[in-house]
Amino acid sequence: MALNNQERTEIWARFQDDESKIRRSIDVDKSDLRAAVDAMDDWWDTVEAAGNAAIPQPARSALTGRQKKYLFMLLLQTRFNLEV
Amino acid sequence: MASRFVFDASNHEPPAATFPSPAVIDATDERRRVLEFSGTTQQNTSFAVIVPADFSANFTAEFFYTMASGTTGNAQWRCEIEAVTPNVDTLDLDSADSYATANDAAADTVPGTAGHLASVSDELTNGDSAAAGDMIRFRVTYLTASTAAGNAHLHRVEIRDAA
Repeated sequence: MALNNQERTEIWARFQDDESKIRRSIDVDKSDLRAAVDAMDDWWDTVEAAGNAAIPQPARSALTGRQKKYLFMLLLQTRFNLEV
Repeated sequence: MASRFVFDASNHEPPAATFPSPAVIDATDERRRVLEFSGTTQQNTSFAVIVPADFSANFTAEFFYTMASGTTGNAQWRCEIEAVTPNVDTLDLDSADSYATANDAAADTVPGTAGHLASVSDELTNGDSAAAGDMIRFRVTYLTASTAAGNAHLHRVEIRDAA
């Protein structure tokens, strides 16, 4: 299920504030940034089922949806930190 | 045009909520103190002075600002005036405000590099009938209608008049 408008808005606002606090440039305007948030969330909605299917058994069935999202978040966070 | 007042971060009188945060943006030597306005939550603050004896309408506000992150789009500033004549006006300062209609500066294209200084002027045609001797407040707002991403840093506000 995609995030609702308020949840997307909060992400959009938090990103701007976080980047502002560390003085990192945002080279798009607000509307383009919002379009990116919307598109990324829509994309997640599209590929979530495929991502789940890629998890081998027994983990696919034994882990809860929340656990699988947490695992994915840790993977993404590590990739973010390592910039890979 | 005569320059009458120059306000900085130390002069502001914030409201109870939704006000900009004082910030230091040149941490190397801690010299640049600014007011950081959110780009996504509309915030305002005020600066209070006494209208000089030789005041000549209108006031004009000049906003000196940098963007924290935004490098494209525009910044939109607003200034409202509240003028209170002592011993005449009956406004209860304990509990009320009385700002005149807003004066919005034209949307100002932000510099292509965050941290570069820009300025934009805003003639305050809605001046609340300010006259010499009045206590006056200038309420400054960074509008969330601004299209540039990220927060805005207000360095100074210069107030000029027609004298």
